[in-house]
Amino acid sequence: MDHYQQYFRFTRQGIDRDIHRMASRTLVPPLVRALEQVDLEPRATHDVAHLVRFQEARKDRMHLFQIVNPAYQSVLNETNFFALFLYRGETPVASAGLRLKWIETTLAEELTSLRFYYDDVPGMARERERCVVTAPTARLIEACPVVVSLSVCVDHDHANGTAVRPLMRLLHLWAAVHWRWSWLVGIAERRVARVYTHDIYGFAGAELGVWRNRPSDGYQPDGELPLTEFLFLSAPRRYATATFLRADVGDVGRPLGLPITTTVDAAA
Amino acid sequence: MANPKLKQKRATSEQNRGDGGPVPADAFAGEMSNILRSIANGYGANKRLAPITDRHPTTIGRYRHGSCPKAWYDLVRLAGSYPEVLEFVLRRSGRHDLAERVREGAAEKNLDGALPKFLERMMAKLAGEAMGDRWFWATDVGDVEHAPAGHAEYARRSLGLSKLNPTDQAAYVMRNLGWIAITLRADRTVVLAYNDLAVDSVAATRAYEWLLSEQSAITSVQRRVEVDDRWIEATHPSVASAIAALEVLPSMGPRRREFKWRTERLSLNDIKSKRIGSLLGATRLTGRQPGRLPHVAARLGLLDFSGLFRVEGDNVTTLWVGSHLGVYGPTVMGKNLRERADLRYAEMVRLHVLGAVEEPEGTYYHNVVSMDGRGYEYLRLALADPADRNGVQLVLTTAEILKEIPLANDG
Repeated sequence: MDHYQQYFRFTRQGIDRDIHRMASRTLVPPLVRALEQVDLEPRATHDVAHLVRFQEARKDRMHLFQIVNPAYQSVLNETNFFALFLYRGETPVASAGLRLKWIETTLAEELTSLRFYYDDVPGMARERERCVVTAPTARLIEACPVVVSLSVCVDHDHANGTAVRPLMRLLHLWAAVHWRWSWLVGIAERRVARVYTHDIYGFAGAELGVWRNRPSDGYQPDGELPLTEFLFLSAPRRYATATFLRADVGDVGRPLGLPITTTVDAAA
Repeated sequence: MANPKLKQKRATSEQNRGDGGPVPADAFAGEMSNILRSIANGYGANKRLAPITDRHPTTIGRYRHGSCPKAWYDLVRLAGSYPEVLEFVLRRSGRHDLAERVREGAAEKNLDGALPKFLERMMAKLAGEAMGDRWFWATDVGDVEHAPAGHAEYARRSLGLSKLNPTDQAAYVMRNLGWIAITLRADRTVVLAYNDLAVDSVAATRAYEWLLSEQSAITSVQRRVEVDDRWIEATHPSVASAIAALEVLPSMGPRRREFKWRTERLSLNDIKSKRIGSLLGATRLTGRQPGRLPHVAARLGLLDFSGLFRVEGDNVTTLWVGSHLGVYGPTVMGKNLRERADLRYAEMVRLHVLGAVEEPEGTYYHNVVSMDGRGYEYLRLALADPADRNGVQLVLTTAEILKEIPLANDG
């Protein structure tokens, strides 16, 4: 695990050189600075073990999402996994992750069949485990790479805007700059989605919905696993790059997704 | 009673002398002055040495009294004329084998062509030992900036990051902004460090020019190149070979030219272009109706010079781009300007177009901008149709390109 800036670099697979330069010069430094001002340091890794340890220590609040759980995924490495942590001193206080995943049929179909969650569904899924998808956009996403934004977990003391905003901007900015994908997706509980989806996470939309069994859920008396409602969050790449690769993203006080104000003076 | 500060200073001085003696350049100058005094002494000695060095006798007098010559190259001539000087220089440079042969009268012959260069290098080395390392950045904005406190500190300061940030900011700017770190070492060797993939063409050009301008004072060049997280080093025996290596950098050709954007709002009364004037006149005559502007432009034969935009709220979608505007239509048509990778251009057009929506008479601009790897200077009129029932407006822009400015050349 190293400082976030060590993982931010121009690559052959990445975006246009000038846009990358703009992001490196005008977006990353102010976001890192915003965290430093509250005594937090962003550290990143491609090693999923760090995320496993972090979330195990917080099992009461959040369980590791199956698509980044090494028990269910055979390959998690620098090509498809990225995690960002916030450290206060040597103590991790927040995490967020990214998983790059190829969607073969439609995302709705992959979710419903549980192939989205498990490499080997018959061998790994629990008995009677289900996922129900009604989100229209999930049916549009087809045969393309998607980035799943996941495992956002911030200790309560730091859950205000000062930590979450720069955390999510740095995370999604990294995805926009370093990976090729068509959609940025995620799922979130309704109460979280209502507050964070647009302004703070930078998604274009939140739809009903995805109902799934949480890993922590036990069987009900009728032998079924309870279904929990999630909202499906999505942003097409065009929208995401237009949202995150803008000069004003470095200003954490400004919500994401607002129309561009004048930058002509800066460009002249 | 002795001044304690003076006492302490003297003690420190003695301690230093005991530890390592005087700095090499001073020691060299001291010994050299002894030799100069020995080869030409007495009345008129300065004048006898002056013609050999092309220096004024007073300057020679300073050399003979132990002042370091500013132009060490004078000694090359002296070494060529006086075996004592040559022998001393060779011994100080560790070439005792050659020093022995000076007495045999063979060294001068052997060193004939290489002697000046050899001595220059050694003098520069000695001068450098007294000076210390110096750091520079060749940046992507076209400057070679002196970094007095080191590369990382300068990079950190220019990014506005705090001293607490543990990241190697020098590596960060090399990997992301394509800067080239230049270290001019005390021994007059130069170290260039950069990231192979990210190195910027403007920075490479500046480093190249800097090497050219400083080559007389540089003895050798080392390149440290980061390739796939590993640093590979290459040492060039001469500046020329380092320059040749820089010239083959992929980023050196085509070179990016620094480009200054200008956008200037002009009055509609300033329109002198017949093409633009005819459009403005025609629209004033025909009046405005939703959807009429494209027809007017088509009738005047202006569509090849025009762009058509659909404005809905804050979104501006490109519907048409004329073939004479330097933009490949399919890459922009049907797309929202907010989605263009070239954010500066997109924002400039968007404001221009939205400006026309707010001002029924139209807006007229003189722009010098870059887009899709080329620069353009042009005049452009933007006119908006009235909004239709859905609140959507069409904006037509017609441009007169004054100059096309190539941003790249073959280097």
